[in-house]
Amino acid sequence: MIESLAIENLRGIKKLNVSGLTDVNIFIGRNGAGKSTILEAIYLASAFFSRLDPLRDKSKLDYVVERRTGRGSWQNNRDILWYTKNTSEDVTIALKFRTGNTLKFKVLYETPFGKIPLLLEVPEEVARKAGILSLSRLIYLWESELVELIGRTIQPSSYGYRDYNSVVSMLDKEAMYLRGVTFLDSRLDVKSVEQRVWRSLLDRRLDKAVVDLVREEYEPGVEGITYKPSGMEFVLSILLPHTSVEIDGLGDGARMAVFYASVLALLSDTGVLIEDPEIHQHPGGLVTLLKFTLKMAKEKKLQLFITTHSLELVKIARELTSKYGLDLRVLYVERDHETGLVDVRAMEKVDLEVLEKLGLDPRLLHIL
Amino acid sequence: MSITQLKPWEHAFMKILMNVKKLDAIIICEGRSDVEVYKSVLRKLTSGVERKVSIGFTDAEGLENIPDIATAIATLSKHSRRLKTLVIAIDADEYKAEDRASGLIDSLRARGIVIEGFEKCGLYDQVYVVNISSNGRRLKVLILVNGDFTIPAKKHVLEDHCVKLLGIPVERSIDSSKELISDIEACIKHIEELPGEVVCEYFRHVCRALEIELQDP
Repeated sequence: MIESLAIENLRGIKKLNVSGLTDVNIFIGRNGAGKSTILEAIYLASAFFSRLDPLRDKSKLDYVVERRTGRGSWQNNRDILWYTKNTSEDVTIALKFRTGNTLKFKVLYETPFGKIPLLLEVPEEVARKAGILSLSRLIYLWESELVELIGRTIQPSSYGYRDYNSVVSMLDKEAMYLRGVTFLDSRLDVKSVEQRVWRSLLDRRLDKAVVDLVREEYEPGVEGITYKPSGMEFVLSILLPHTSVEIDGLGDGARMAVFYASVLALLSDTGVLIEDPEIHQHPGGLVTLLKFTLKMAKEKKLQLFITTHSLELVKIARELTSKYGLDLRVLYVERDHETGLVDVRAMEKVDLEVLEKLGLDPRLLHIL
Repeated sequence: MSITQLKPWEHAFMKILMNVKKLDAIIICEGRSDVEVYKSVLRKLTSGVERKVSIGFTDAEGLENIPDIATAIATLSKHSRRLKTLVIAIDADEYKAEDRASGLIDSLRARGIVIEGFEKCGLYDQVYVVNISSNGRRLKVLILVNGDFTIPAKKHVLEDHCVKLLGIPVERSIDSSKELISDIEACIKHIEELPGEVVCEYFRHVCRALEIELQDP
């Protein structure tokens, strides 16, 4: 589990530190505060261990650019990720895990073509145990070797493959966590689910859980979900008593719920990044979706990072997390637009209760 | 001076979204009727004042006791960045003003709030200025203790000031002035009609608090 996070020079964030992260972390704050950037930071860090996003079948680096611009790729448009587009400063992302290891990633603007633009600084304790600790220079993991950074140039280090393996084996837990990190946002499409999720879901008969979710809130008469021929391909459809409806023909709320539930059912022991899940959801749908999400989080040991503008979501999460035995942290994010410094304040349960009693909406803390 | 009523939430939410960029001070009163009295006193006293101050009013209904109010202060000090002053207006009830204020200070200390200074405001027994520090953040808290101790009541409350303002005679010992004020509207109407300096005579603690707030930039 990630306990704390520090970001520098990523998008609108010059500097951000957030600690005390727990099972379920909900980020609230005004538009442009940096909430989604926090999710993107974790997603970018995960690209070090797994470059391909298996859900979207594309490079995570490309997706993190594309989801902002709607077009473009890492190769052509990555400068939008740098704070004020100042690419001479490195983007850094540090994730402290419950294991005690802090993984510090540097995102470089320029790297040799085809090589990953992410370096992972070997944590001091790991370096010591591997016998590669040096007081004069930092050692990084990059591609399949241990390297040094001289200025902004990656140079081979004097350490070999055995040292590399030794370091990597000590970061196994963190690597496993980050490999599984999954980003759920409103750009998730039906093909991702049809082609990359549903087969595994069926193999484990986890489709039943998704059908139950659809039945509870969206289509009470649903009998199942199946593949249906459509032109040259097969498309996912829900089975109703007298007809079938393609998933992409469902209402937006139902469709997103099916997508999210399908993905969540397959994950375990990792982090899930969920951007504004309240989009298209009636409060009842939000309860159903959150119940499913939190149940999966508990059963499958998923750490959730959720951004939202919805006070209902915060309140529902407060009720449900205690029911599922999960810890919740609500974090208010506020960015100084002149300096790019981001302040993240944890809102304990008592804070939310007090603010409610005083008539203060926690989303409007900017007035204080 | 702009006044924002923070309760009920439904009204405040729209007003804040539409009009309020920041709050300089929040005043927490014991109950809704106290809020109305304080608002009218403040409006009267600041009618000629040029300085722009944005004040939020709320009540402590739902916060049952002094420790709850201390929790509210702790929450606001933790989450505010630009709020300059927090005003807590509490009834003396059956206590002395200083004991009420001290009780609140003790509750704040118990919550880990650092008290950097706590003093009675000059000759005014019922106004206390407390500078608190929490999470690297400082906040000025004014504790106003309501009650007129010349009234022969077991408990002293904000209504004491209204009783005096309205000239209601108190010929016997009473439990509290709430028995004598059936409708707070009469008090508010008087406040609106009387000159500011007269209102100040009956609500001295509020006047003093306002002086303190307006003196500080």
